Amino acid sequence: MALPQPSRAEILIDTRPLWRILAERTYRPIVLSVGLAAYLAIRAMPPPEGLSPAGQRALAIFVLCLVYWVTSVLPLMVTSLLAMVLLPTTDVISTKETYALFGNEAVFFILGAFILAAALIKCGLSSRMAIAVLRRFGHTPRTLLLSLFLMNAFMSFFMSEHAVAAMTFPITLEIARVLRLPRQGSNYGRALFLAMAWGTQIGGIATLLGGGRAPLAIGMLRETTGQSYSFAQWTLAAWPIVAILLVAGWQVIVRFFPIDIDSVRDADVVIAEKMLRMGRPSAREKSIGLIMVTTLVAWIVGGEEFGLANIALGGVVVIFLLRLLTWSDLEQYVNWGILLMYGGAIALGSAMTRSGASGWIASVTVSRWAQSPFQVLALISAIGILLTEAMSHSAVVALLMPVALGIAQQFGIDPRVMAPAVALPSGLAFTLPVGTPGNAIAYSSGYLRLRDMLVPGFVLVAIAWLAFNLTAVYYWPLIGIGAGR
Amino acid sequence: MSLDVHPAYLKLEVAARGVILDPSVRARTALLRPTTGADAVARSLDLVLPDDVWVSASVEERATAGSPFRLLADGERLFLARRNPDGAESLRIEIRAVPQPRFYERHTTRGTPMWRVAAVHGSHLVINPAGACGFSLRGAPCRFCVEGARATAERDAAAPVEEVLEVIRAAFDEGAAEFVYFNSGFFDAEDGGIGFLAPYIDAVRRHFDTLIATQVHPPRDNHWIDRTYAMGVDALSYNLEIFDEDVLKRHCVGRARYIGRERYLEALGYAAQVFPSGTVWSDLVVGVEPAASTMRGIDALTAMAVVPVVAVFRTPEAAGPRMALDASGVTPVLAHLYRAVKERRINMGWMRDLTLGITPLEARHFAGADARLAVAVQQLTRSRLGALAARSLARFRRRLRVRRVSESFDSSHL
Repeated sequence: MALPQPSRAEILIDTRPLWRILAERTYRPIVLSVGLAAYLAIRAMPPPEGLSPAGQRALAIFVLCLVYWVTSVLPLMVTSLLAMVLLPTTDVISTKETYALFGNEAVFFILGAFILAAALIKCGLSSRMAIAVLRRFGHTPRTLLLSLFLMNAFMSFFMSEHAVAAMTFPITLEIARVLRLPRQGSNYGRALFLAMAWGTQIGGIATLLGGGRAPLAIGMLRETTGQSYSFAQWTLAAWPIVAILLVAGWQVIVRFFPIDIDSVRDADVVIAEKMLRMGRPSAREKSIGLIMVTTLVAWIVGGEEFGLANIALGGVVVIFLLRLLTWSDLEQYVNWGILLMYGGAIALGSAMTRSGASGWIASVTVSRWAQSPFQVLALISAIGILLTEAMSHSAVVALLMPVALGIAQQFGIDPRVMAPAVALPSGLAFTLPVGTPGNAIAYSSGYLRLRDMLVPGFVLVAIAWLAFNLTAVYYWPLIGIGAGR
Repeated sequence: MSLDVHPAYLKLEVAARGVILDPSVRARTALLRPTTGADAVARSLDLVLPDDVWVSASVEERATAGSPFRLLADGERLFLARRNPDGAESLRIEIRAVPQPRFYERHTTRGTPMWRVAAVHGSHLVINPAGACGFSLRGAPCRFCVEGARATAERDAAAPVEEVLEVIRAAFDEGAAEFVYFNSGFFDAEDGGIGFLAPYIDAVRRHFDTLIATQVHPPRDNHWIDRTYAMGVDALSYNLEIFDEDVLKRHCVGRARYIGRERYLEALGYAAQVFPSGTVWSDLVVGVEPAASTMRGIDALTAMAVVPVVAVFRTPEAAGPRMALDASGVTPVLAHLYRAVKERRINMGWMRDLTLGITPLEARHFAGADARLAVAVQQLTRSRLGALAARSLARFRRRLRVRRVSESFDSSHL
């Protein structure tokens, strides 16, 4: 007779005023309806001048996805799947082309990178690296903070920044605990968690491995123009921004939150204990480390010849051949949904460009406001940096990349410029907890108030935007990425 | 109608003194159908006084011997007459008597007499599946409690859910009640007895479109109150009965000893934040403690948005003729009841058709107020459309307010 009872804290009663709850609950159906209405309205209107019927249909799908991606009323990947359904059924591109685009090399490169990162985390090598860095350099409050900042950045060169933040968060929390830092009012506590969050983000834009943004942008570029980036080329394009932001980020942290403790001896002890518990590196750790290093070298020296995805998947196959990882281990660490999201976004972006819709959007939007290629870059990077504060990084790339490629066509800009111009700024969300999972994790520690992220974050965002534009204008032409005509 | 004969005052007097049945009424057997198999005739009758004021009037000869009230029949019409001590009739008003429900005579498919499973009081179908008050089983019932005074042999075993559903169906088909009112005598469970009622409440929710009230004891932890609302309870009572702590200890030994006044107040305050305005109530028995203490109790409850319902102290029928009501003591308490609830802007519409307690809206007569809007809204909820709207609103509110923690994680996209 007894009913299945929910656990103690399973049920919550929302006691806010009903109108507020109602507004919150009706938000989703309203936004879903708005997206649908926008889609139908664009489909029903006579084709604007300069836009083909197929372009109009692609535009309608794009606007529908834009509404759903920006508001997250549907999971990002489901919106991508919706785009994949609509593209062939509305005759924008054929079914065969749509699903061929889904099988883009970028998707498989991301899959390979995810699996390699999963192997690093699962075998404990990533934790060992983090602890080793802190053990080696973190003997004073200043060096501990700097080590944490740089270590997060460095690890995000090789792993998804979200995974790094999730991995180093417990370590950071334990350091704060043993140092008895009060949750309210401890400058050092705030600095530690900002260093963790910002370090991962800055490091995350350095290579193709820090997140899915860069592979997604490259995938869309390749499908549209046939051009691409090698692993080394991308890193070469990004490093000045990373270097500037590492210096600026450190300065912002220590100036806004001057170090207010004298010793980190207690943290030293904990880190030493952790190191001791880990023991010597196992054969499994060494093997995975070796495969990772080999893969990295192969990406750098043979990426163009052999293909980034092929090298990544080759590394994965070796890991399984040597039984260093099981498939069930893998399933816990790989975000399969994001692969669907990327596949759909690439298909939509490609369809937008092929149908002329992205060029048309560019002609009626940015082209009217920007007069030169550099103004275009400044505008696109500003939009990317602003959007990413409130949206998923990948969604920003999915939205901006087709438009940016259209703009490149309009202004005669080398379309290759547009991949880093969209992907790099869209990875720099420093001000809001919702900007990125790394920020959200740091904020959840309880050491940071919103104001602690907002004001210094805004300063760093401004520096990031300047750094990006200076790099694009003065440095990229030197390495063959030219923005001008 | 002057102040001393307004329907709320009549309710108090009739509830306290009972009514003598005129021979013209005794012939109406449908009206006097016994509520239990042990009785030859009904022990009490539900009467509906003007302004839809319901009262349960004792009709047992032993208890009503000194009553000035007499129930008379004139054809199909019924009248309540009051006689002065000199025998002169001072009042005669037409009233309505609620016949005993026909389902009392029926048996469930398991063979249990339906009157054992549920009883109609006002528009409520009162069900106590546990069959007994936990305090009385521990030898600590409230002194004025009729249930506590019942002999152990009369107490029933817990009724199965299916049997309860069968009786509710019979009562609703007959139109004998609008709401379901569950009562649980358990007090020593961590959940205050609501866990025991949960399967019954769930079954009623699944089978009937009705509002559910429950009277249980405060749980040890407030999360049970959240779950009480989430499981489908629309109105909730933790009856404190007496506000004065010393009097509570003397008259309600079990309440004071096993739960304590402070826990009742804490739980009521929390429940009032969870449930809609006007749906969390507590009885305060007038006449047991000093009037000033009852008024302090009213203030304390209304300050937490809890509705006080003032119950009339009645000695058990077995104790012999009932005493006249002390009008001078009761009137200020009830006037204060109305004013306090009005001042705190607590919804008065939900509490209605209680046969043994004075609701705040009924108490308006003692304050000389009309409360036209509140009366009009309550009248609206008596209509079929109004009742449908009230039920739909209650469901809609619950759907908006109740959240599962897992939903929060989902919506955060973490």
